Amino acid sequence: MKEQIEDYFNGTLSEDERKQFELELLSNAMLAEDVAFYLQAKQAAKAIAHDNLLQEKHQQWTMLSQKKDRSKRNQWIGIAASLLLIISIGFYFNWFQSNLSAEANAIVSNNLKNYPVHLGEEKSNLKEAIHLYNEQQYEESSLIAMNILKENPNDAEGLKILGLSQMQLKAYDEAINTFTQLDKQNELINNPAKYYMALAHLVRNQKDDELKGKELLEIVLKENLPGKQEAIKLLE
Amino acid sequence: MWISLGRSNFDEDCIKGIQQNYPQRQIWENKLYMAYRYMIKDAIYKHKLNEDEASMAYSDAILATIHQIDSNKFQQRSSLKTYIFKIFQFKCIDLLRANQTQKSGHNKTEMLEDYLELLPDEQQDILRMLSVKYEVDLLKTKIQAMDERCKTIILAWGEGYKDSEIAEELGYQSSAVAKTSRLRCLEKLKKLYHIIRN
Repeated sequence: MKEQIEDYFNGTLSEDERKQFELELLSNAMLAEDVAFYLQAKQAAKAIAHDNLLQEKHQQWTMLSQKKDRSKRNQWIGIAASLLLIISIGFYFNWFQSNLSAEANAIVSNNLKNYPVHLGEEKSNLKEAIHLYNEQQYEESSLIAMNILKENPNDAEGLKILGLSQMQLKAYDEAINTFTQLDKQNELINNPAKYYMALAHLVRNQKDDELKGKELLEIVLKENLPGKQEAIKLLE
Repeated sequence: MWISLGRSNFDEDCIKGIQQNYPQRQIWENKLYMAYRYMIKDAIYKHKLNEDEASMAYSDAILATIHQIDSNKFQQRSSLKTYIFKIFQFKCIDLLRANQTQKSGHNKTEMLEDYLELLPDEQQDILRMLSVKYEVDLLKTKIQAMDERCKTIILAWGEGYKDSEIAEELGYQSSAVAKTSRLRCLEKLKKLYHIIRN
């Protein structure tokens, strides 16, 4: 291959040499053939170089693209999974809580609406309070119970009626205080204070109430206190 | 005024970045590729190309843009986005034509014309006619089949390396020796080509 061909296209020939070369192209078929081959070979070499570079870059960019897509997809999956987890946890606790709270509420509404009247009840005030409670006149029953407690702050029956009336009036904070006071009555053989307190906590259903309610129900079970059967059902 | 309206800070940063050395250059090449890759999906829909073809045509368009920026040929008369979009459209259309005619090498004629323009008209016609004898695709196959030494030196030449650089990289004594070796390899290629043709 003549160096002159390359020199011509590189522009390194002198003016005379360039003109001579161009003239020779018209008359020298071999030279023209060589030039045609040279130019096509150069196109081929360039095309291979371009193809190789394109393949290399394409692979590199495609990988980068996939990595970004994966990263973005993982980000979305992460967000979706987190949201799902939060919703699931929220749903679970809400369901569990509301379920337990609803059961406790059902007990308060249905099972605790009738306070047993003992035969030979001597205290007329207490009788009246129980009567009013059973008539679902809770404000009145609580007022009478408070009068009883004014005379005797540790009256267990007075505390029970007051606490239950407060619970029916949805005054759970006050009910819990009353049952706490009742719980201190150590001389009582069957003290339902812890069971009532558990119900009040569960029905109130505020922060930590569920935990506190469960703890109290477990004590009821463990110590075989009144309300044990209901406690078993609730804890189940 | 309209020039500046068409360009963004991204364009400015990208052009500067690509004109730097590696690794800065590579970072900006990647950013340029990522910036408009949504065009691939548009092309799949518009030109009914498959994803691999459209994706390759897009890479080719980005590579061509990088080459233009790198060689200071990017005129900045339009935004990079518009420029890439146009090149990508051409690449897709070329690809469609190639698919229809089962032929590649559509843009090789353009490269040949660049060289022929240096010659007077009469010589151009002769060479245009003679060059048909040497099919670029077949020449590519023959180059790939050559011995490693010749293949490497011819490919380095195709990549635009100067003889002095080839001499240094491939261990030739001087650029003159590298040039002689390269021209001998081209002679060898020509013989190989004629053997297969005959």
